[in-house]
Order: sequence, then C-alpha cells, then structure tokens
Amino acid sequence: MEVSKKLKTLFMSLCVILLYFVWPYFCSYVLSFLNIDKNLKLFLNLILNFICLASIIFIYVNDLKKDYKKFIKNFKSYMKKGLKYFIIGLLCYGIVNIIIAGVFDFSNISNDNLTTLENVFSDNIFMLFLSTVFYYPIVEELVFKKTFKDIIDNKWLFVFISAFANAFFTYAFSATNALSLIYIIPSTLFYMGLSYGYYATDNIMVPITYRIIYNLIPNIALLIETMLIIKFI
Amino acid sequence: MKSKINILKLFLIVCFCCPTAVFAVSYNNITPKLVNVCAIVQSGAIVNDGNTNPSNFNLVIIGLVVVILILVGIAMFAPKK
Repeated sequence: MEVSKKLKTLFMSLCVILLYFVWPYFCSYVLSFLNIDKNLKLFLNLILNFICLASIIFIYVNDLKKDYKKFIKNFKSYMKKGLKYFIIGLLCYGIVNIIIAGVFDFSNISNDNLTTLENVFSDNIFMLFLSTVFYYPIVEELVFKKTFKDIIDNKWLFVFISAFANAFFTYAFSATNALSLIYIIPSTLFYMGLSYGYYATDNIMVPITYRIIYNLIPNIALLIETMLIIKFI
Repeated sequence: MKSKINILKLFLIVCFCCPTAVFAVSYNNITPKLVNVCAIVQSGAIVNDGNTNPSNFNLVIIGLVVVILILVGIAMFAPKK
C-alpha cells in the first residue's frame, strides 16, 4: 500500500473511532438542555445514534456497496464459512463463562454490561430491540472490525486486537468493579470468532449478519416473554 | 430469488431458536446467575449513554489512547507484505 493511501486509511479509521466514542457525549450534552421525560429522551438519543451510524455508513458507502453485492451473490458460501467460526467463538465463550462461574464467587462479580443494558432500556423493549438488533451490531462491526482490518494486515493480530478492543469497551463502560472485567476474556473469544469470519470471507456483511442474528434471538424471546406476562397479568 | 429463500430459511431458523431462548429468559427469572453461566441470551453491546462515571471514563480514555497508539504504530511501522 502506498504511504499516502495508508495515511488516508489511518486518518479515516481514526475519525470513525473518535466519532463513535465522542458522539454519545455530544448527544448527552445536547439532550441535557431539553426538559423532557426519560422515554422521549431515550427515543431522541436513539435517533441521534442512528444519525451517527448513517455518518459511518456514509464514510464507507463504496466498500459497503461492494460487500453487499458480493454477499447477496455468494450468500450461502459466506454464511457457511462464517457459521463455522461463529459457532467456535460461541462455544469458547460459553466454556470460559462456565470456568469463570466455577472459579469465582458470583456474589462478588456480575455481568455489569447486561445489567446496564437492562437498566437503560427498562420499560422500553421496542427501543432495546431497535438498538441491539440494528444499531449496535452494525456500528460495532464497522468501528471495531472494518476500521481495524483496513489498518492491520496480519491475520492473528487483527483477529485478536479487534476482538479484544470490542470486548474491552463493552465492559469498560459498565464495569462496577475491577473483577467484573474478567468477562472481557470470554467476550474476546466470542468476538474473535466473528473477526476470524470477517477475515476469512473479507466481507463485513458476514459478522454484521451473525451479530444481528445473535442479538435477535434473545430480543424475540424477550418480546414473547413480555407479551406472555402481559397476557397472564 | 435464491438469496431471498436463503434469508427466509435463516429467519425460520431464528424463529425456531426462540422457544429455547424464551425458556432461558424465563429461567433467568428464577436463577439469574445461570444466564451469566450460559450467556446464550445476552445481547452484546457497548452501552455508552454519554453519562459514564469518572472511574469508567478514565478506563475508557486509557483504552482509547492505547487502541489509537496501536493502530498508528501498526500503520506506520508494520513491515510491508
């Protein structure tokens, strides 16, 4: 790669990463001036998040168009290839979680990310659905996989660094104690599966699709459960 | 057309998985910690609402600086292929 092209890619990637991290603080600052109820604030925040996503998509629009066309054309082979690594990642994730549960006392550590997610979107299942099924998978895969792969050529370096960064920030924002950061390990393994799938297929649509499916299952379950609770109450 | 059928198949698989997930979520009400062990019904997401508490904020800033340094380092000094 030419030096100028390399620098351009680096600059673009850093801009995307900084936009992703700074945007929520900007939104929070803007929304703090509005005297509105929590649900409306959450809804406006969601819209602003989707604006951020649209900006990132706009930056990568040409690459995404190419990947989308290839993905539709070779859907079966891409999904098959990605599924293998996704399952390996998921299995490692489950096994390490079981080991953590065996080694540590659960009264001391908790999965704070899950708790935060539940707290932020309590009573807002529709917004939880929109965020976790559409916003988070697409934006996180673009920020932590596309930008990293554009810069890192080495396979294992890319797989590990992108997965670790994604897992680290997942828990860094919500950790209530240092011990709960232990969940970074299983999450890294899970994201490594997705990163490897992306590297093997060279198509960002593969990890995005698997993340959407992965997040879709608990969300549909949550929706069904909520409907059942409403029905029985 | 073929890809649409594949997407439909995928959707059906997801729908098929749902009863299992419903069971897991219901089970979560009884033993919340079990879900931490299974970790199947989690939605992985970086929840940044812009109101990060100071200790977490420091951790995020350190992580961000390290990530940027690694990326710049790799882009500048990684050997050419």
